[in-house]
Amino acid sequence: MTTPTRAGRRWRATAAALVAAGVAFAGLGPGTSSASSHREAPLVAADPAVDNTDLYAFVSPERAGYVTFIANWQPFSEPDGGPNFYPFATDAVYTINVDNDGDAKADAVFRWTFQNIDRRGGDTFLYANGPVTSLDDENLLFRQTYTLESSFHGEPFKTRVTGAPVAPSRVGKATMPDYGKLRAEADKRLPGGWNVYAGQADDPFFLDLRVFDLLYGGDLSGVGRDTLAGYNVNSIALQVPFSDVALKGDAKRNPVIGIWSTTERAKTRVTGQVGPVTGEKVQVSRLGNPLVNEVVVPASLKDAFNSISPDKDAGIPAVVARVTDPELPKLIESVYKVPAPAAPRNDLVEIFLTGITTKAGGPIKADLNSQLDNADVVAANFRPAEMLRLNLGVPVAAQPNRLGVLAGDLQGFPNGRRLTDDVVDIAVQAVEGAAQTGKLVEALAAGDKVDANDNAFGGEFPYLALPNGVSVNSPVSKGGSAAGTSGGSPSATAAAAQPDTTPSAFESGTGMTAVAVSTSAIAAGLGTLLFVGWWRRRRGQPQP
Amino acid sequence: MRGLLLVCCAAVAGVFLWPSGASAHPLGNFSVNQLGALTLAPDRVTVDYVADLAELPTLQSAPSCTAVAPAFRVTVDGRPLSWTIDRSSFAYSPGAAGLRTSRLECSLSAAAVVGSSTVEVTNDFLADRIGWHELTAAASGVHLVDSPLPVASASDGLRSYPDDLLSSPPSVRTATLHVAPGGGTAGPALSSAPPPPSVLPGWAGRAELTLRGWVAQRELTPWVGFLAVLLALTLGAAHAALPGHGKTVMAAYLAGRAGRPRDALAVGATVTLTHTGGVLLLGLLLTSLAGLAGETVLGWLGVTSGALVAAIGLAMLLSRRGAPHGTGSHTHGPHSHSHHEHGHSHDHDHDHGHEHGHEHGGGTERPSRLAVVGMGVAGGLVPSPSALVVLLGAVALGRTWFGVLLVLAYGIGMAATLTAAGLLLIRVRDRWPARLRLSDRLTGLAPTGTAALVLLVGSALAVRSLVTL
Amino acid sequence: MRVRIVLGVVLAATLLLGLGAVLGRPTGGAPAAAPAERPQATNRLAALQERLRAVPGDWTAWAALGEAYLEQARISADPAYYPKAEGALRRSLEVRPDGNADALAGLGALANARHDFAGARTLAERALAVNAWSDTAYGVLADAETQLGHPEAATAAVQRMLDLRPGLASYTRGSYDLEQHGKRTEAVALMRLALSTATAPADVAFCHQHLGSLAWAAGDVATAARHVSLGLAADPGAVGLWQLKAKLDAAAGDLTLALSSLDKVVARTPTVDALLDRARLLQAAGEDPSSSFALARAAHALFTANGGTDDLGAASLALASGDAAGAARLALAEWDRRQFGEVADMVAWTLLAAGEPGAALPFARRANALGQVDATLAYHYGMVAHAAGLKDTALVQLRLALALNPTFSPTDAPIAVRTLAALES
Repeated sequence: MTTPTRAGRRWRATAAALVAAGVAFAGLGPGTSSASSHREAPLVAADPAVDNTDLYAFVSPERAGYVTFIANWQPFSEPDGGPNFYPFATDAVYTINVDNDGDAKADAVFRWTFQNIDRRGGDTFLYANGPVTSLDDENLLFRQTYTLESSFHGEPFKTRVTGAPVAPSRVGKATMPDYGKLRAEADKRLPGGWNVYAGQADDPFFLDLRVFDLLYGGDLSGVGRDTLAGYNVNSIALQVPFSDVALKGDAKRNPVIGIWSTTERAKTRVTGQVGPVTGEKVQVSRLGNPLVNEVVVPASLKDAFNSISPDKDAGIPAVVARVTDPELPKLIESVYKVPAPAAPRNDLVEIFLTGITTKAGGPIKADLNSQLDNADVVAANFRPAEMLRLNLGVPVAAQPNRLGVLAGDLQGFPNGRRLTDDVVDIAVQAVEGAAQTGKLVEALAAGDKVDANDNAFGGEFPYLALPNGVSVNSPVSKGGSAAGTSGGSPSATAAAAQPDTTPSAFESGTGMTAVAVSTSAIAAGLGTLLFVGWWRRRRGQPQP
Repeated sequence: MRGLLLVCCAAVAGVFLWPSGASAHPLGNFSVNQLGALTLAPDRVTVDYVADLAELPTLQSAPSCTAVAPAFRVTVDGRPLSWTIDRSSFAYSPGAAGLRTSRLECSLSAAAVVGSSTVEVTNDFLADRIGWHELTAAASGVHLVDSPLPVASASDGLRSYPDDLLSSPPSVRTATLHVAPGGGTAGPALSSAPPPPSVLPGWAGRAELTLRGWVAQRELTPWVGFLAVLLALTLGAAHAALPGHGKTVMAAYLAGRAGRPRDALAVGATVTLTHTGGVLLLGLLLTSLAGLAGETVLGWLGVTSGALVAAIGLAMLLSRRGAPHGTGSHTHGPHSHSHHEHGHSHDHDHDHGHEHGHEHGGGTERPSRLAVVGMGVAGGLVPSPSALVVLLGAVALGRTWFGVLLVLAYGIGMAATLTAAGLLLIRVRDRWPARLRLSDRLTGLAPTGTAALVLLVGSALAVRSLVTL
Repeated sequence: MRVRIVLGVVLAATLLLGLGAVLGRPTGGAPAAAPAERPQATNRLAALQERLRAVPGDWTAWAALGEAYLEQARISADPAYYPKAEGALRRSLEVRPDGNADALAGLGALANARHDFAGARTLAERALAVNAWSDTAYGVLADAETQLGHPEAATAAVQRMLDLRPGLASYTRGSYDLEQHGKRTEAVALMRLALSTATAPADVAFCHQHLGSLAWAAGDVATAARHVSLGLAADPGAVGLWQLKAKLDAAAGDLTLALSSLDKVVARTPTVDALLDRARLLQAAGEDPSSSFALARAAHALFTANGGTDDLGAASLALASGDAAGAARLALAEWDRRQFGEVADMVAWTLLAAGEPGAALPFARRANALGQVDATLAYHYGMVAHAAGLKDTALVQLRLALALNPTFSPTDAPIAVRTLAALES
């Protein structure tokens, strides 16, 4: 701004931006004034309570014959206090679906609906008004319960449990001193050997978001920080016996299942018969394989993809085209000079749409996890569809490898998905053709350099790590770079909220400090006395 | 030339593309933008307050510093400050649509003892107005611990607002600052702030700043902890090498009396204990008693230390007078000789045995235990300011035990230097008579000379510290 | 012996340094910070800002950031966010000029916020050409069509939005659409559904504001007051709720309280209509409204000086200053741009004031054509019909106005009562 050259550059940039944008908006009006008001409703109101973020499906390592499904919603939940907590939506239906005969229609549906128990009255928006030591603690002013229903083979839904408690949002150590106890109380055991859990957990997904720079022509320099560390999600976990989800209840003959989760809301009308339409649902979110929205489905089809059921996938050519001719390898070729595998990429079709099998004419010479490999499947009814496919018959790996199938660990992604599978690195390798060639691409071998989650997972159901208790953007967790370093304002904003509520290290430490310092001083004094005494005695000793 | 042409073209394009020539306030016609720049000194708090009012608020009201002062609330340990308005100015400047914008500037100050305190800031002036709300804080003569506020304004005092797409306008209206004694501003979060000056020159100064940096780190690793202790040892040693600790005195004392290596070690141990205890006690006092100025305490400790040394000198002189002349030095000579001939440290014990016996028979030639301890206390009584800063820094981050350990390392480092100096002198003294064959007369005079020297230096130290108070 | 000493020194040193290493272990020994209160909207902004610092090429995130800035501008009524929103949306389009429905829809929302409803419709249609499943683009389209006076197109867009993504954004739009069509019960039901999905304090406040307005329009003051207090408990800075509260206070006859509520609004966002509301209230209280008028004129001058066009605001300003003919001219100019019910109402009212009840009558009919149930609308229609000599219509409308809400305005309600009495005698 001070030198002519910089001013010139700035002007050029401004002019270029304006020309690029066209004059269509030049008359839009004032940058920063407001017209007389008109009705302005929320438009992109964040609706994360129904946003599906991740789905996991794996054979329970410590409980033979049982499979565990974990589905997550509400990404980027910060362990805040105050008015921010993260309930499940009560007007939505959350489902986990299983297809075992390959027709891309659900043969088993597990369905959760949530209810609020709100005791805040009209005068407070506090989540809790004191320490919460159990799920029915009076201090927990807002809580949720859920109903789990299931339907098999299109039969009517049967209620499996109702009024089951949801583990609350973790809003800090002072309010919830022992979250592990609350988690344990929310872990429900149902008849039939089922285990079910709904509530908050640490986001098990781990990645460096900058890996997505690959999608925008960037490289992988500077990656290696788990950008999801410290955030929580709302999880639903379910453990059921193989026999409940395998075709004909026989996981020996028919070990492969396909899984996806959805969120639905009731359909509503403003024309004709006004109001909510009973029974009819609108699917607002859907998830099977990880990273499908980022890597496979084009941005312009994301909304469409989220609204359809898997049996319609093969009918949308744009999705199939994107799978057979993905963009990512070409971007990687331009940056890393790693030649993109030739299209059509039928190996990716196997991974994402059919499952890995020799029976669909794909290039990967293995039978791993397509429903076509089930003995009792009618091949004619098979329909390619995007879902997470799991072969229940693959024995549990003693030493799970984060790279899963690509590293020879057949129990990992893309055969189902375990919490520890590094799906980002796997996906990058897979689009580079590693599943077909059997060789990892060296230049990208390090991937996003985030190889494990920030919190350790549990050894038994629900396996998830406890939710984080310290706010991600607090100075403590940010390594001292929180305030004022960028000169920009977000950190200042963050700091703004904190100063008045943060008991400083100094303040809260003073009591302990005083004790420590005085103890040391007294110790030093005593030490001196002892030393002097000893020395005097030594000197005063009579000589032999 | 081409650049100029481009600028012209762009300007023309800008005129065509921009809807109108008159530009609105960058933050909107409604905005009241405020900056409160605090400066904390040991005895007062000052605020340079600026308000930049867009067109409509300017039309709605003309604010004044007398309205700002009660709304800009600052409390020190819960006690509210009442401001004196040192300077105020209010000016209009032309804005959009033939209207005016305005700018109010106030200098507020209040006397307050902020040496070690919690300062809370709340700007409630026109609080429901939208706009840029900025607070900054700097310190001189005191130290802000982990300040949540930047030192400098991001908007150049509300003159140019950054239009970064990736940041929202700040809305900082409250802050809590923790003030610790000691110069400088820096908290660990303020990399842009000038680091507090080190009391040590050259490499030692840099090393001290490094150590402070490590202590202030949020995440300590074992390796850094290890290095920090090593650095504290070195710094302690360097501190003792600075003038003002009566090393010369101690050395002279040991040389003048028939000091032995174990006396030097005893002095070293006493120094470590005294220094560690002294720093910890001082740290306790400074963290728990508001309004205690570190400099004053250091000054008085200096006086005490000097007086102690002087007292030892006096005692030496007096005992010298009362002692029979000559006998001690005669017996002393051969012992020293034998010591020199063996030249091994493991022989000392044997010597000690003899010497003990000798002392009982011979009189006052040996250093008195009280004097040796006194020497050590005097040497360790003046705390290293850098150790104090490191301790307070560690305490502020809740790492009290780490701080205590570092202070201990400082003390050991100091003791090492002093002991080494003492041992060196004893060595040299033991060699002298052998080489130079000093006359008995001269050797006999030496203790009196050293006693006088000790008295002199002690008095000088005490007076020097007294002058700085 | 020497070995022992060396050993001792080494041992001591190891102990000391080891202690340093132990005490220096990465515990982050500092005490944990207390939880910080931060609204979800800024949470989302911060997350997007951070993501774009890491991945500057993420054009979908740029578009999302632009939309988040727009939401922030709406929630905080702080126009400083508009340039940021525009900058972020344009950056998204720069990075990805083709097939970028998100950025187009976002720019459409920005155009709506700036009252360029025709531009917003074009942008929404361009976005839908890229992504026919974009609920956001349908929302932009619905808003634009509503304001442009195309109720069928607006309803269709709202229904499509509801089909694609039931949720807060589509429920609130559906409720407004129903309200304009006079389907008050259904509008309340849908807004209640919206309230049940709202989690952010500003969204909760928004739903309460409109539930309160719906109750107020039907004269249910108690319900309206309950929603106002619930809404303000959720978000004490919600300007719209303070404006509604002022209406309720004035209706209860407490003009001082009403003025203090409006003062809060005017202190935060001195918009033309808030300032005119305040001026009218001052008039009703028998105080000098000139400062409010002056401010309103300045606010409007600033808006036009910056290139904005707001003839609706200009018309109400001219009417308040006594220039009825000028007001009518301005209102008609706005009508040429958009044939929205609110504009028709303004045209009718200004034409009546300008002494042309005959010309006003078709506009008054148009304003009530969809069947919206609102006391002020009915009052305007009744007065126009009365002046135009349509006694029956006047009787019906004035009775309706007073039946709906006998205290709908401290200045107009008494006039309605007098006129009705004159008509009935």
